[in-house]
Amino acid sequence: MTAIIDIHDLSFSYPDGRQAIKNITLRIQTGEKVVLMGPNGAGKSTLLYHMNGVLTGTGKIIIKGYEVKENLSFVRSLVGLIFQNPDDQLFSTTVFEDVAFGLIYQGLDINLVSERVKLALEVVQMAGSEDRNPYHLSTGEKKRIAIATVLSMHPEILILDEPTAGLDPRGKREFIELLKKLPQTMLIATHDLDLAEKVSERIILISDGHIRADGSTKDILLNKDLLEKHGLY
Amino acid sequence: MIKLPYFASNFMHIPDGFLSVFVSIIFWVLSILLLIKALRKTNQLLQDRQVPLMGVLAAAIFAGQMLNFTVIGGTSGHLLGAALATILLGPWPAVVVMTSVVSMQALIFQDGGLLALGANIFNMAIIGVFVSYSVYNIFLRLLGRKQWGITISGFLAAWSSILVASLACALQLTISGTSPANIVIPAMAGIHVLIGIGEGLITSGALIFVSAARKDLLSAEEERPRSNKGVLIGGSVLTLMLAVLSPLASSHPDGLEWVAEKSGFILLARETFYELIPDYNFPRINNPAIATIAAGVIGAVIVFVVVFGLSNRKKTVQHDQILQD
Amino acid sequence: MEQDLQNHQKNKVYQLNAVVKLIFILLFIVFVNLTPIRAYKAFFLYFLFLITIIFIAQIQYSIIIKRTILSLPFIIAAVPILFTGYAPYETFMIIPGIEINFSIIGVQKFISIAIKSILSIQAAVLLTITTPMPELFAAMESIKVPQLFVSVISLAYRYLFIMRDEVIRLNRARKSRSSTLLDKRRSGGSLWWRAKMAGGMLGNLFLRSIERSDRVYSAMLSRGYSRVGVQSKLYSRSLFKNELYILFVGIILILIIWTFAMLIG
Repeated sequence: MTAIIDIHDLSFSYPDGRQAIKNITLRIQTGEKVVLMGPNGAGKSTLLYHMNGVLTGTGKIIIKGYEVKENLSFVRSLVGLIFQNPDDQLFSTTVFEDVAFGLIYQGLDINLVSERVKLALEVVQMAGSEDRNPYHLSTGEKKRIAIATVLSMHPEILILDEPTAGLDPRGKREFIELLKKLPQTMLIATHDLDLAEKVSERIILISDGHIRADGSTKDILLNKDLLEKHGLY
Repeated sequence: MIKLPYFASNFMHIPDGFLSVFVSIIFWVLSILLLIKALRKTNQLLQDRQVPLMGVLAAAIFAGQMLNFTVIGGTSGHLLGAALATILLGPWPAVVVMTSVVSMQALIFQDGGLLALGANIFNMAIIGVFVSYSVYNIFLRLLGRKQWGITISGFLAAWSSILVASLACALQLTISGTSPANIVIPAMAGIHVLIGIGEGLITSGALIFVSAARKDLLSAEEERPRSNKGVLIGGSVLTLMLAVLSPLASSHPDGLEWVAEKSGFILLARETFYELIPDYNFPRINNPAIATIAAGVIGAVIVFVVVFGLSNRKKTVQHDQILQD
Repeated sequence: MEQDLQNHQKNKVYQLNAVVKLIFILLFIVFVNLTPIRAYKAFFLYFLFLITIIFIAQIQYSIIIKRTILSLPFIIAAVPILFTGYAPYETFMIIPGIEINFSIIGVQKFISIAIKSILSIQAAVLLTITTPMPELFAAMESIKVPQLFVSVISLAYRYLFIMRDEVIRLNRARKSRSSTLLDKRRSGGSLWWRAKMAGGMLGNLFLRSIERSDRVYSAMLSRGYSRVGVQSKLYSRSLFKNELYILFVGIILILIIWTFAMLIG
């Protein structure tokens, strides 16, 4: 089995000189659901933004055989990136337009677009909300629509940044169920231990831009010393 | 530090060195008078909320100017923001917000000079807002307040605000003797007819978003159209004046001469130039046509501002009397 | 640049009252612009004056040059006077057969505009680099810029970086969904669609900012906010005697250079 995500020696520094991630090497297999854990400022988001080239550092990332930097535009159709704040992702007047954004950009036929939007909304249990205004949705609904905006593009990988932040307990429970149901390969950044336990089989722990641990969810969640050392417990 | 997002807009941000000191000071005075009026008006309107609302929105417009979209090939459309601010906030708050934006650009990023800041504020914050306001309201009345009426009026307001502001900029350069009228006016107009399309499209897009999410913001202004009649007329006058003056200045400068001579501005203006700054090389003074236009524009603008100031004064006096009673 | 600020906290120019710096730089720019064309010696003296201050402030000149270059494209606006200025004209041959007429006065004016522009920008950069923004705003208030306006602009400055981050996040979200398929069909949507989406991002930013301003307002109220500028009380102090003296000497020097320029000009 080949890795769908293959990261080799990735480093990135922000323009102000702050180094966010250092020499990260990592492989993720098709269908794996991996949680990326780490304290605030560990470099989690920075690493995620590299997966579809929103940021580009030094080193190599190969997604399904395609080197990201050389196939930016295509890789973005394979990798759906869901940001922490759904408001950043929703800027249309109707849910339909937001979910259709990626498809219209790709130049797909409008009938195909409608069909795919409908399906994506069904998957996130928001069927029939095409004409609603995204601005007036609840946080939980916005998160679902944010996922639909990338699901409609039929990505093979979902990248989620702090997906449960700001959700109430029931919203979170439902959201975790949705993530478990989706078949895509997932890389989820979070410091929500509950989410990690329920969704993932594997946890990668990063801190100060370095990978500190990489193992099964069970092993890592039981290692309280390790979690405490990195401010997660 | 924020990097300057683009340079196309630089053709609207005049650096120091390009305007004569006289022109700079005139526009400083005009801008200060109108800013004071704008501050007073917004203060009545918003009271304590003025500072947080204006401050945060000025920051938002400044940052929003980094948003762009691909127009054709490598060129991208972006935003100045005067029209959007005007339509969503009303003219006077928009003047305060845009003045803050333009001032910050000069103070922090040297995008536009400090001596030229008065002129830059006048072009982008005052002409930009006044023209947007009148064009938007006139077309809204013609087209109706339906979605498409708002969208098209918004586009035209944004487009004309950019174009008219650029004409003002070109005239200031001409009066200062930095650039000949017959070249700089068509050049500036030509560039900004195109840049204005980007501004218009993105403004319409934003209006569509806002009218879908917060319709109330777009109708807030309708409740008191009378109080801003002055802006409506002022904006229309500025638009017409610059639209008529610019082609005249660039092709038939003589046509304007008698108007200015009749009103006596030309003599007054010339003498003031010499008295105010003795020996200062006011460049095009030997060219009567340009001097005429210069005097005409300055004169008309002064009259306009004085009338404005007086009308305001009358109202505040009345206001005070009511309070005392 | 933030690093520079830290390095030079103890420097005299940085410590100088912002009012002194603001008034001096404004007058410097005004008199540079009042200097007649062809007074090249005077321009050189202005430059020496400026460079001396830059040296005392221990600022890397390259930083100032970088910022100067950003403003240079505007010089295009003055190019036409090279050819359209008054007679006499000088004819240059570019390549055999093609000749161009330059107006001598036009060329002189062009050079003078460029010099004035560069001197003014560098003076403004000097002010920005050596003066923390809050102090500059407080200084604006002391020279009678309306207090209400200073409050607005200080608040705007505080939120500038937060707003920039919001725009960066919006841009990232759009970018990460802007993809093409392998069959290389035409992507990107129509011009109007692209503009509408960018406009939507802007509208989104605008609405969120209005909501944010409500929160800022409540926060201000809860801290007992009154409109009397907190800003100026924190950051302004009265002028020391020696600061007045420095300002006085600075202005005298500018006036000397300018008078010299008027004599030779």
